[in-house]
Amino acid sequence: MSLIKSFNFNFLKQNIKKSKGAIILSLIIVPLIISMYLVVYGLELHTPEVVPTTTIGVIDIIFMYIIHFVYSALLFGFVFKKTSTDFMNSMPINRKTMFITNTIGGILLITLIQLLSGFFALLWGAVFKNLIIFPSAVLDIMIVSWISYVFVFIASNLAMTFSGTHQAHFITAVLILFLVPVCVELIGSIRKYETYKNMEYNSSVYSYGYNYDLSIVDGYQTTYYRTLENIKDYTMPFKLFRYGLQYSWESNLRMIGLSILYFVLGLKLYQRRKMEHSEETYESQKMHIFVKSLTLIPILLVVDRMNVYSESITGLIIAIIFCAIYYFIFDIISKRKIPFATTVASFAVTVFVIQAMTTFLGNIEYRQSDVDADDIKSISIGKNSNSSSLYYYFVNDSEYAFDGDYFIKDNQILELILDGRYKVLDPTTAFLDKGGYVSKDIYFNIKLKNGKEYYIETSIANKNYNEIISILSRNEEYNEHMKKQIIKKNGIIQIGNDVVDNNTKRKIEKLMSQEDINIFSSNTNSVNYITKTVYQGHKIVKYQIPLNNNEELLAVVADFANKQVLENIKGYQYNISVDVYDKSSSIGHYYGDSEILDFIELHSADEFDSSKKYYVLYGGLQTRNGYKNFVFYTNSTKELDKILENSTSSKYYW
Amino acid sequence: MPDDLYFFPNYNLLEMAEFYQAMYPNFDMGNVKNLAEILKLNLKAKIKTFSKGMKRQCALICAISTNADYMFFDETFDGIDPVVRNLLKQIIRKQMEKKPTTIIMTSHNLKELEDICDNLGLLYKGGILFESEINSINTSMTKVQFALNGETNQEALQGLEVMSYKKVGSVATAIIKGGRGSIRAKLEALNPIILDFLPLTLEEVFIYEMEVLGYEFNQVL
Repeated sequence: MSLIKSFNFNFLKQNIKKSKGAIILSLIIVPLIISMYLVVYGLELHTPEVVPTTTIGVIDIIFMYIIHFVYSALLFGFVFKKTSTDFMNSMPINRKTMFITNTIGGILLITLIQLLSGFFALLWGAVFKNLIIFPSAVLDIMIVSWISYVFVFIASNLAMTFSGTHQAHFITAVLILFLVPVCVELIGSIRKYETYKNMEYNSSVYSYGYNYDLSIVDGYQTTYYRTLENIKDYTMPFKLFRYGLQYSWESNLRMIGLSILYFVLGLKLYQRRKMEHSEETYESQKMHIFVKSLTLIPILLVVDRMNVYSESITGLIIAIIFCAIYYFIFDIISKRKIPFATTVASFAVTVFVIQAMTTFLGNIEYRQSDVDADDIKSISIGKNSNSSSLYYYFVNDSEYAFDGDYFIKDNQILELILDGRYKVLDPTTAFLDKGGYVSKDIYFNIKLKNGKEYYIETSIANKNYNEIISILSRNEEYNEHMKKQIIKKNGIIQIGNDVVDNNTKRKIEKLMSQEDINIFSSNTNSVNYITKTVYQGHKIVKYQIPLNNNEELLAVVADFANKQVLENIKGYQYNISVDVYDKSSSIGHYYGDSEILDFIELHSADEFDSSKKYYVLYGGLQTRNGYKNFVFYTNSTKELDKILENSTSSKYYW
Repeated sequence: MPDDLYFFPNYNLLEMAEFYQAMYPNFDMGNVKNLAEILKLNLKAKIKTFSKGMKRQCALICAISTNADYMFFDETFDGIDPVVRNLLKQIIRKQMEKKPTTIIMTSHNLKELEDICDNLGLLYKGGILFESEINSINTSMTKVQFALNGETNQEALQGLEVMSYKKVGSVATAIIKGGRGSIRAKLEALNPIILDFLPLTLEEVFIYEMEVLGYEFNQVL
């Protein structure tokens, strides 16, 4: 109620009116650039494609760092100039009302930006049929962006309350937003945390090869990893640097909590603000030196992390000179005259304190231990690369989301994951393992019984990987869980690149809910599957459902694919590339002229019987409308065998 | 209305008036238009294109039209020519007739306040040095010019509270605290050759009050 009472709409209207040009521009620029981006994206697509959330949110990410300063400067910019601050404060409106009104006004503008951005994202999704944008994904982006924008805006307002110039405002806001997480990251990299040897992050195994593996075995301290809790907890502006725009309630709640705290703090400080200090960086010289010293902390931590001190005395001297120059330049840019002796003394104290702190943290002893399967509460697995033919085994596509929904508790699987990890790390087996493409890059998220949670990007031995798949495919609980996920969500169903029509989709979903669908396939070389893409758990998830063991499902799919095929091959221009499979394995590859297209045209109207022997043709060809893919099912296997045998150009058998 | 005026960038007088209107519930937009016409100010011309005096007129029009109970004017007539200055004074007077308003004006040019203010306060180092009604200044302080038959000197003024005494040739000019009656009686008793009572300006009041506090730059130089 107090907030509403303190809201002065007339003041807001006038305050916005005086900067209407800049505000209108800020309102339309994000939706406009999102629109341009999606229009270009949509025009370039010749086949349907699910737009990842990061693609839709990419513009939001860029403007998250700009809009808040723009709004803070437009709505509160008068405080940085003596004449304007005198003028505004002579008006019959108290500071509380002024602060609350401007804050609410900024939030309303941010809301408008997000609504417009969301509207245009959905609009272009509807206009371009190949551009598949899930409304729930757009809603998630709007929520995350809105919370993030508001958080950054309020933090920026807090910075304004004790800054006297635009430069000081910018520096203070950046410190409020980034100092703590950056220090946590940098100190975390210096400090040696408790480490579990066989779970360490090691994405560089391939590029560094054998020697690097040895160094890992000799000294685990050199490797680098982080815990999942930290990632989720970070506020969005910092998180964006590392992980992009991701939905996380931990992060959102932290931003909401901090926004409330910063708002209350900002209000109190604004009411007490000494307006006569406009045009000076900060109210006092002490405050100026304090802020300047704070800005030196991340710089010193980076220098420390680079280990320039330990390299040579020259390195140390260069580092100190670099920091000192920065320290003096800060005063020159901010046009604040600080006595030379004070600057030198404060610089020395800052360097000493930070060094003492990093040395202390760096020397904290850490416990290094192996983790047993018994220590693990559960594991979820995500896929690392979409180039893998084992794509569909792990239902969470890590291109979009790195942590899985389903936590595996099977001790045998946990053992296999750890053992697979050991094999890759072991220098006696790792080289062969990797050289032969027999390890798999995966993401997994481990919950230990002691409450710790780790996110790990690594590779495990291929043999172990396949065993895990085999166990999972027989695991009834897991199958049931996945089936529920597939059936309950709407999403889209694709055969090849084609999105099925609503009628086919309903038929497929009905069959999937009735049939005892086996979502795993023992064969890794087949394209005989459909893909269901949904937005669930705040991320895009792809489920690939094999058809080789589901005859009824196959009949429905083949019916749609064969009706669609003529449309897909229309406008054929150059050579055609076709992979041919039987029920579960590859028969051959055809690369040549239109002979196979004649076959397709001839048999496209044939009745397809999924219980008889059949081939699946998965092809790609250049058409007048761009490169198209198609899927075609046929029972005329003998005729096709003949075409493949007669085809001499570039044809081969696996 | 501050000495250092502020207008929103690219605003015209009408837009500024609209801002004031949003802030002050009793703002009189009609008055703005009326006064702008009297002062020949284009309502829709950007204020930044105006001269210093015209900008001050704009600020004064907006301030007056707020119909606020209290108004503070700092260096109100700075940069304004005498004709417009008189016009603005009339506008201020009219406003006070229209509605009971307390107007506080600060200025270093005291002459411009003499004919418009009821009360005078002298500010010195953040405090009020002297405060009086304008009318009572004439009764509490007297400026007198006199020449005695013999030698004219300050001793003749013994018993009076002399704030300032200057002598050019045989004619002395003194500012004395107190009313004319008692001073006239005292000086007439000395049979002066010349005895004139001169009008006291606000600037003289200020200067002599400051001199009492040792604020004399004449002596410094």
